[in-house]
Amino acid sequence: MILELDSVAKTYRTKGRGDVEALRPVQLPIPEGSFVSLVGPSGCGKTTLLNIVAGLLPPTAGRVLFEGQPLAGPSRDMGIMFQRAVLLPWRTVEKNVMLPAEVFGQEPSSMQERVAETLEMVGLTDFSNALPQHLSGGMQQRVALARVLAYRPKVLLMDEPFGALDEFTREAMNVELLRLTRPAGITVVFVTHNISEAVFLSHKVVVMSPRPGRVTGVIDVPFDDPREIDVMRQQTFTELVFEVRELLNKEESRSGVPAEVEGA
Amino acid sequence: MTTENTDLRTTEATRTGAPTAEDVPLDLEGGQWKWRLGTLATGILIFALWELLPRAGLISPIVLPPFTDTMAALYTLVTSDFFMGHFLVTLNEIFWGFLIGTTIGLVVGIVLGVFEPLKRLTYPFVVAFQAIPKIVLAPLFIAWFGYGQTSKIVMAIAIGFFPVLINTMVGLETVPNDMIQLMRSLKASKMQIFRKVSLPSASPLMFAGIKTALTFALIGAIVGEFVGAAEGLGFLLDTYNFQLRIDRVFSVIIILSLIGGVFYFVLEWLDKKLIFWRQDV
Ligand SMILES: Nc1ncnc2c1ncn2[C@@H]1O[C@H](COP(=O)(O)OP(=O)(O)O)[C@@H](O)[C@H]1O
Ligand SMILES: [Mg+2]
Repeated sequence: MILELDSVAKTYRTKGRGDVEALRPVQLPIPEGSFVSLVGPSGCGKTTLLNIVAGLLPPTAGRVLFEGQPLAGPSRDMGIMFQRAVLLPWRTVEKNVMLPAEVFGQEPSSMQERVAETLEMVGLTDFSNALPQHLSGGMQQRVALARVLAYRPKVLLMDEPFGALDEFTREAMNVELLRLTRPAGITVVFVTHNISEAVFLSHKVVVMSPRPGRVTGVIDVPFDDPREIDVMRQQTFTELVFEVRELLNKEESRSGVPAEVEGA
Repeated sequence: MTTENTDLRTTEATRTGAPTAEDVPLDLEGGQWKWRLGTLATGILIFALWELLPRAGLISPIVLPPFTDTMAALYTLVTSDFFMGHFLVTLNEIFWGFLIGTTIGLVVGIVLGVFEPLKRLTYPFVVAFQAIPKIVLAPLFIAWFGYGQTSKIVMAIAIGFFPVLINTMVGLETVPNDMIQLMRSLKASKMQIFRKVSLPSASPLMFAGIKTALTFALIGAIVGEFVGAAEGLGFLLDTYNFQLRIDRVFSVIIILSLIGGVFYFVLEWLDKKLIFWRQDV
């Protein structure tokens, strides 16, 4: 297990609204090289959980083990991506991808080659000197992906990274993501509210529910790698999507509040 | 229907509350040159009225001297031997007032922006000072610093540092949170976060404050000269006004407008060079 969530829980202490129980204790082993999705409606604690794993947010209870050691803060062996590409608008594409190396204090000249290589991998070589504002949303997210891949993290944490993209671009990005992370053996924890996206990408789909945020089930996805978009045509795919949906609906009828989840 | 491109722009525009260049239809129907021509025609009309209304006796030349007379007065004034002295005095006051005011605004703004407790402690006083119409301080500054250039420079500083201070503080406050999170995930030091993210991210607002400071410094210097001075363009203006030499008054106003205009265009040009990624208009 590269990551192990050991009874991780979070309660936000707020001024006006009292305590918000954002996450009931979560127990979750994440094997090295696996792709794990967290799905659930807004407010079920996906971002909270991901930020705890990233070391950006301390849990109120429990601990995260990273390579067997308790995590005490951010690690340079993990990289994170958000819904926004979060590119620095005053830096060119290349300089944005170079940012982590600069922060790590690496010699820029020694990084040049790796940055160029990574930009080539995501198909952005022709745009190295462009400013982010001149790129489309999908291209901006690819720059963000290049930025994180260029420093070769062992774990990639993604918080609804393609949520702002249109359906076609999102699908293309998903295929690209698999191509870039699977052969490299990168472990991915991927937050989404799109069920079919989760099933297509993952080895494990973790289903979460709100009020209070908690894990309500884990579904294993048996497809072989490498995966192409046509696995979506298989009977098993439809059944798995349905299974996830049923798990979400069960919680919805229990709490009496409709869950806002996009379907397949 | 929508491409991902426009999608993202819309989110971005909503987030900052500012329209992007694409949202504003610059090219109205009929083409750009028609509007340019219209502006030119309007200008000519204004100057024509300025010339004709006093000549026709519809406005007394004491209230508004005809355009050509004003131009003649302007020429005589600019070529007179005493003009350069007054001109340089005012320019000097504006320059130092602007430079010192901007420096104070930047330094204090950064210090307050970086040290949260200090900001909370001083914020009520900052707001209180902002509420003062600072022109009322002019007589006080003259009492403190005398009739010379110092009191005018202090006046220019007092008015000019404020927009820089506020904009620097707000700019540092409004650094997008996910940028900070990104830097934290890389284990960046506080200094790295400040230099690589916070400062550049705040710089468009800071520069907007600096532009305002220059206009304010000009106002500060002139007001200071109105209240009490023996030299400078403000002094000249006040004197001619007292002597009812309105053509000369207009001449000084034109020179002051030109100074303001030149400053504005220089800073506008610098802004485009330095804040090259700015998208809003
Ligand atoms: N900083 C915070 N302070 C207080 N409550 C928060 C904070 N961040 C998130 N929450 C609450 O915690 C719950 C889970 O939020 P979040 O992890 O963002 O969910 P998700 O990413 O699944 O939409 C929500 O009810 C949210 O309102
Ligand atoms: Mg979220």
